[in-house]
Amino acid sequence: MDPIIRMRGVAKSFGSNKVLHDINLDVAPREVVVVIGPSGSGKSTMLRCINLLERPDEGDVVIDGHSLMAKGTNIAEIRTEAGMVFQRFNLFPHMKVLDNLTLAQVQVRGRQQAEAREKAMALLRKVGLEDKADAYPDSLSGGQAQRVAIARALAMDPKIMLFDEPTSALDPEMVGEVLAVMKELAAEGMTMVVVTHEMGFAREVGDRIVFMESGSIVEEGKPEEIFDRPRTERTRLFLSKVL
Amino acid sequence: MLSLMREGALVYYAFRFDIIQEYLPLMLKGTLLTIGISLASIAIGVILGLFIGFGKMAKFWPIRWLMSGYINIFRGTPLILQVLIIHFAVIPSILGTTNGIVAAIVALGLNCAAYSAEIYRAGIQSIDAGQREAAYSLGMTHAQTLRHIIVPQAVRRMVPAFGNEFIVLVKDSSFVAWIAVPELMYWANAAKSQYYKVWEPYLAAGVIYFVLTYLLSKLLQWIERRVK
Repeated sequence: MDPIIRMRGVAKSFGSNKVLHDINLDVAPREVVVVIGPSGSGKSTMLRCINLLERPDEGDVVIDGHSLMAKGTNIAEIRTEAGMVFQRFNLFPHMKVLDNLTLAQVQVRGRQQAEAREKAMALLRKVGLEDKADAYPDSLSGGQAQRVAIARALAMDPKIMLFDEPTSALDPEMVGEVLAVMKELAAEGMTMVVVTHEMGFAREVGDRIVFMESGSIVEEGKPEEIFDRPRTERTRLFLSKVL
Repeated sequence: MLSLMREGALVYYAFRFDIIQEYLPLMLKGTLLTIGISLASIAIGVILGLFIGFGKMAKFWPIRWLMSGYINIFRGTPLILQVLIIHFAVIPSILGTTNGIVAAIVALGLNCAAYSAEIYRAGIQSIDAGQREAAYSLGMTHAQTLRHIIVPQAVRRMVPAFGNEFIVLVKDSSFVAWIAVPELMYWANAAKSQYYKVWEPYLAAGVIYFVLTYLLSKLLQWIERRVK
């Protein structure tokens, strides 16, 4: 099957600091790819290149057959197909939870308000927060806010979901509720790229693990391969610190 | 009313209420002009400032450079100097004659625009980058993001700063008495010059300015509560 995400020779620098070197990554539809690696290894930057929140200096990213770097590509349109969940939730604080979920449906997808509300309520029910529809984001716990953020991304019916350390800003007791929603999504066949430090989740849910260090993909493979029989010394060293 | 110690004896200051009485109708008329000039200048400043503020954030560097220059010049030189140059040089070269009220509104408006531009810019830039990224990741365009996400949040942060700027402007409008615009300060000066009395006219003018800015600050507090 053709990959839905294809990264070819992606490189990115911030000033003189080269954060990504020649990244090549294919993600197949319905695949769950979990990206692990030490802080500052370029995991988040790579993820942000997939929906062009960071623009690669070199190489290309092809989403569902559309090159992001080609001239004339409608970036906003392609971003609609790639939902993103951020470490710090980034809910819109001036809008009720329900409006957080309906705004882009109406503005971007052109849905009717009633249809968007129905979709939003269904998704809030799915993440167990339909009673929070009229609440403002400030009144939510971290775990609740992140579940709303996931629902907000899903409301656009994306083909891909990108998760940028979705549990790193949460109190430990709230990590589980967010991971549970993500597991459910994976089980439903959503294509996902997840940057995380949750090794248990990576092993259980990931179809493929990508280990990054110093801006490069060092090793990738099935969870058993990476966690039980890492091929490189660098992977082994990292896993010995985090497991 | 006011007592001063002089040579050990209590000397009473003979407060001339009659001066205030005589000049009050003129000062009230002047107050209306002060209000009118202030409102017109605020309107110019708020609208022009919007373009200058966004211009300063433009991607195209010559626009950014030009807008920065505008802001630096109007913030970096005395308002009274701007009033005098606009009144005696700029307006005559356009209209062919001086016109105090036009010069006053133009000078205060252009000055207010510089400060307003900075309020807009600071308000917009104070919004966390994550807000923009979240909107982009949902497929929203730059314009949609600004309109639905950035501006509504930024406005809340701008209101107190604008309130401050408007109050300063009402008080600073007194500078245009220098170019003989018959507003509140002008009539206070006129009374002082006629009677060589300082306390009566200036105290009266001070009370009126205070009432104006106090009412304005109450109005702004009300608006602040409304946008929260």
